Amino acid sequence: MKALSDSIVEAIFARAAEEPERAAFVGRDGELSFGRLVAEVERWATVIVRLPGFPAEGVARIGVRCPDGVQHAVLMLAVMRAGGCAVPVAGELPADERSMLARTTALHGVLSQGGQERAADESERHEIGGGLRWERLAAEEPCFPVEDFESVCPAFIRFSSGTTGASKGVVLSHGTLRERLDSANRRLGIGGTDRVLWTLPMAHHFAVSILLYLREGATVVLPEGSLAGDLLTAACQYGATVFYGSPFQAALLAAEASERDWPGLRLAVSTAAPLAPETAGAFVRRYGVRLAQGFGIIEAGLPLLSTSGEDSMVVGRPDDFELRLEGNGREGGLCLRGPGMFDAYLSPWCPRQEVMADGWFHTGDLARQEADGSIRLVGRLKSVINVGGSKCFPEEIEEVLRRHEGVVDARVHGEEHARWGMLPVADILPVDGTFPPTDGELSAHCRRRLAGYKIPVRYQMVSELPRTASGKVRRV
Amino acid sequence: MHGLPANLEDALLGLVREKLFEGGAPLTVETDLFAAGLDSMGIMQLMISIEERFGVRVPESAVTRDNFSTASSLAAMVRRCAAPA
Repeated sequence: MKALSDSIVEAIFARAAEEPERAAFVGRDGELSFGRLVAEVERWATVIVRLPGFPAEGVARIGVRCPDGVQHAVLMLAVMRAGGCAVPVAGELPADERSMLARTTALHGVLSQGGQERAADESERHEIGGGLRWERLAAEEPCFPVEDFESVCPAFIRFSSGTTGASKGVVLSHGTLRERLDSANRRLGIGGTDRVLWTLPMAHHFAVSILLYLREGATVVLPEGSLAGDLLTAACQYGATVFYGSPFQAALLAAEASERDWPGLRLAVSTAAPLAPETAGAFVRRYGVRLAQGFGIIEAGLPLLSTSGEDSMVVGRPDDFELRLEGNGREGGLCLRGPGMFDAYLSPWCPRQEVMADGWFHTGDLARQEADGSIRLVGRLKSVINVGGSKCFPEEIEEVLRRHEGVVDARVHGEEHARWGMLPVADILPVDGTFPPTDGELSAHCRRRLAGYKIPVRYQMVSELPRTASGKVRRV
Repeated sequence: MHGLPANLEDALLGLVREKLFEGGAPLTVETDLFAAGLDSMGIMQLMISIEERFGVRVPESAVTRDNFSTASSLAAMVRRCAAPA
């Protein structure tokens, strides 16, 4: 196995060595000290490099499909420790999306716990102990330049949403991760005495969360379940000091019925979706801590964090990130640059230098800069639909709908919703307007091909779809 | 207001099948949904679908283990949500 050098795992191991007895994880899966975490990661890394199909040269691309828990974190770290690039495969992805992800990233194989793959060749499936399975995949010719990919020292690839549509796969290198964690923690200030209550899906949140906490020597508290009562029970039992979750979870916690307090809470961060003012108000009334609003994007980490909590659309003042508004007025498309920016888009391959050819990353958010310098989000420029923190693109949903035999064409947009932010709704141009497909048929068709939150909540039959001059369906 | 179907339990079971569990897991109105794998994303999807389909609002305070444990308990919750306050 390659020696550790400048890897994110090395940084975590170095911190672990300072206090090996301290707990890295507590809660549902029992307690795991930092010392034992290191031993577990080393043990699994040794197993991983010997798996059939693990490449002798270059960077292995390994999918990790594992429920949230200690095992998920250990496997992700072990893949990176083994010199591989870890690709989380979210549990909610149906088979179609999983195979698309495997093809796009040209995975050498997938490590999985639970779940059942039906299509795989039995002979390439290996039980490797600990309830884990290794599924070796046919080494397809990657559709990205492997040399360029490997030259960035990739640790991690995450798809910002689905695997089709406008999602490109974001490549993060070891160096980027280290810079990114340093930068984010300037704002979060998480340290070794913190205990962070885990509430988010690990396949979607790993870098500026699990990696950051472990690197800072903080303890991750894993609750028994995801209901507000479970979260609060774990928070109290294990003395959690930090909440980092979605606005929905903050709303559930604020409305939890037992009226228990959370005495140890010192930092509460709402991320992934806009925070409703009612939620912000209810949370501070219940727990006496204002929810900070984080602005996190996979390309940049957590470049902004507003701790003032007075207005939930204000995401903070820039510190180590530079910001610019397109058009150079007070309001425009938000552009930024700073430490720990992503390394490349995977598919189609596009290195950061090209994405940021004008020196800036264009976030696709419409923002306004207030007199005090803080940034207020006022809308979106891109077509992304954010369903309570889970993002998808209309294009990928439309593409699936068009494959239904009763559909000529489809247009999907995000309808504003007070609680979830947005919900996908579809306009359908049916083959036969007299007997159009039913909502149930369309939902079932989507369910087999798309993660649940991407399935339109409503279908409207239309006799035509508005088009642009070039013939594309005009977006709402 | 859409009005609730008479066989609300079955309607909810259908919704759970349609939205949450790939393949044909053998579910009944008394199956423990948490044991079957209901997680936070699943809860969110159930809330969205219930609100859309039955025209009720499910308050955050109703998101409890008791209410979400089976299709049957979900039906009782939906009836409470639909009842005039």
